[in-house]
Amino acid sequence: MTDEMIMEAVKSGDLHQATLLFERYNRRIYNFLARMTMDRALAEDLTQNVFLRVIKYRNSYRVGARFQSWIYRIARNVFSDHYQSVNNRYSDFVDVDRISDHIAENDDREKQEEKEALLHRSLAKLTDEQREILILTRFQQMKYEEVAVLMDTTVANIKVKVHRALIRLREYYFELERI
Amino acid sequence: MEKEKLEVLIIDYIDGKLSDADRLSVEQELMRNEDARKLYDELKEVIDLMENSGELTPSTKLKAGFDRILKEEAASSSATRTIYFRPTFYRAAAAVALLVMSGAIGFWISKNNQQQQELAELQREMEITRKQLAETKQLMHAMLGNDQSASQRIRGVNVAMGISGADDEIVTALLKTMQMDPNTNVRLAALDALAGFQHDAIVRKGLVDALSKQTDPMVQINLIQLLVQMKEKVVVKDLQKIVDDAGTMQAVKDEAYTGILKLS
Amino acid sequence: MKNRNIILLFALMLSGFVQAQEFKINKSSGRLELNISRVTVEGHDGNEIIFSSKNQKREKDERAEGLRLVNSLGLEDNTGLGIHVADKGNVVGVYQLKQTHSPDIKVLVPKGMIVSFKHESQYGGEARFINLTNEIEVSAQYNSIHLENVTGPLTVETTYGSVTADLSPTIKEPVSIVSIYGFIDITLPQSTAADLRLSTSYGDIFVAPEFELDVPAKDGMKVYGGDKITGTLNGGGTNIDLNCNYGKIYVRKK
Repeated sequence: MTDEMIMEAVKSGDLHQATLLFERYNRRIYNFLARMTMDRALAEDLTQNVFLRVIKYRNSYRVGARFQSWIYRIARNVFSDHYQSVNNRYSDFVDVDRISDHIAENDDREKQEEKEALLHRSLAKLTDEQREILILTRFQQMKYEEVAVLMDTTVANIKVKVHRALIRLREYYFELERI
Repeated sequence: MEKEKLEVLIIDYIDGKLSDADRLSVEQELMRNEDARKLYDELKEVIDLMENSGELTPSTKLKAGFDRILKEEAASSSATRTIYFRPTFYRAAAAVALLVMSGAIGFWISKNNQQQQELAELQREMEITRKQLAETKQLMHAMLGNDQSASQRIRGVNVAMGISGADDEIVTALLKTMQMDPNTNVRLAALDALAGFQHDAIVRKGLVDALSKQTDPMVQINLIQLLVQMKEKVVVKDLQKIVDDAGTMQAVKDEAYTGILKLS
Repeated sequence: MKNRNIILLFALMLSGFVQAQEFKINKSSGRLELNISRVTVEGHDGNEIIFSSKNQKREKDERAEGLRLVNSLGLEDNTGLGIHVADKGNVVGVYQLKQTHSPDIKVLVPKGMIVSFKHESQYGGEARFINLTNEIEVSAQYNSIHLENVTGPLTVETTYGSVTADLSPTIKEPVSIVSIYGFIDITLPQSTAADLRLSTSYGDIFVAPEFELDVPAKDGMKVYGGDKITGTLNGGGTNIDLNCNYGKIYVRKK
């Protein structure tokens, strides 16, 4: 069964089919939000919010539309809604310890941990859009075509943005490293 | 070479997206230029870090939370959602509405055996209605998609009109038909159907957008009349364009002109 | 010399036969698309489409003997009637050869085909559809459309031409007739059960008094101003939708 078929069933009232969609997408959405917010506990809350909206607003799903694009759109909205109301915009003053505590897995390799912390601090310095594009293309392995649809623009535009984001990322990363 | 251009090339090189010719020239640049080499090492480091970062795992609370959401929604929504598809529901609407409004009252109702029986029957009816709705919509799509017979497509529009509630799916199908059907009568039928949903935001937007794109005179005329009736002042600019357009039929222009007067 | 005489003899003989000339296509389903400026279409029980010309005496042009009639539309007369008929599988297309003139053709069409008439030039003449149970689609600019003893379904659209229709008792929906400048004159059997939607922007709507719609009568026929009127006849049933912009609507009883 395709995602679209399952969502159509959910829309027609067969709510329990939504569990299938949860199983297929919860990790992806969680990872996306965790890397966007740099806060795993928060990401769990927001992920739950996403699935709540999928179910509550099932009527607004257009039958035949690509489900992946739809759920990611919801995820992006949930992310921006949270930061608009909480007024919690990322700045340079990101607490390294907080990020490390939240993101770092049980990894013995200290150097690797350090590098990853650095990576996330650098990601935090990017604009939301740049960070998002890198998360989608580099962490979530989304194809440029899909990202273009999600962000309502052309593949060419996405390529340019990815390049610029990577260039900035490199600058911040090695700037921070020197500190 | 400009630094930014070089970085872009190096990124594509690392991703393996360059043509053979470009790949060679980048490799040459990296070999002879120390700064370029440094750029490459740095970019490779960040790209690899991202590449190798593991997938994060949510806690078990996530699934538990989801199950809770599902349960709540199943309980509260099934009563309200399908209610407007069958007039017989209005009869039992009181019992159902109470259930929806508050969980506490819900408990009170469910304690009452007789009403529990009624609810069980209602739920069975709802199940059938839900299936009927899905089938009706399939029928609508099939009819609207018939490219041999305009009459069938009009029947498809009538089927859509018979389904109550401005469902997004139905509205989208009607808007598409109104915009693109090769037969004028079908388009007009779709427009007529959409007029019934004129209070829906999506429909209003669709109709306003359609004005600048329609070229079928009879449809244009009726669309203008409808938009004027809906008091959509936002279309005055589009109407002016129609009045000024040499290629548009006089009857349409006259209607547009009247429209501008009525909306101003 | 001798050959020439023989040919001339044949030509003279042929001219006598031309009026009986027909062109047939073995087809009984799909669409018949008529792109000519005037026509008479009638239903029949066979399973062939039969084209015939109503023009008497098509004199053969002897000078043209051995030559092919060509025209700017790139079509040739493959019927001997002055029209081009193309069999495209599911669709049979009929085209005229001259931009300004089309021979007077009669078409007998099998029951199972959808009849479509489309003409946009200002040289449009009358298009007549009689004794048909087929689905009929008409899109015309200047032609006047005449429908007699048809059941529908009908989708008719004209810009300047008028539409007169006399429907048979077994009406099949939908019946949708639309005209910008022309009038619509439709005759329905008294017992017709229909959901009527009549609308005109600047014209008038006249309905036979025997038909009970929700509006008070006023000696002779009921008159309404430019507006949208919805009503049912005999309890409702088939959807009949008549829409005029400047023209008037007449609904008569049989």
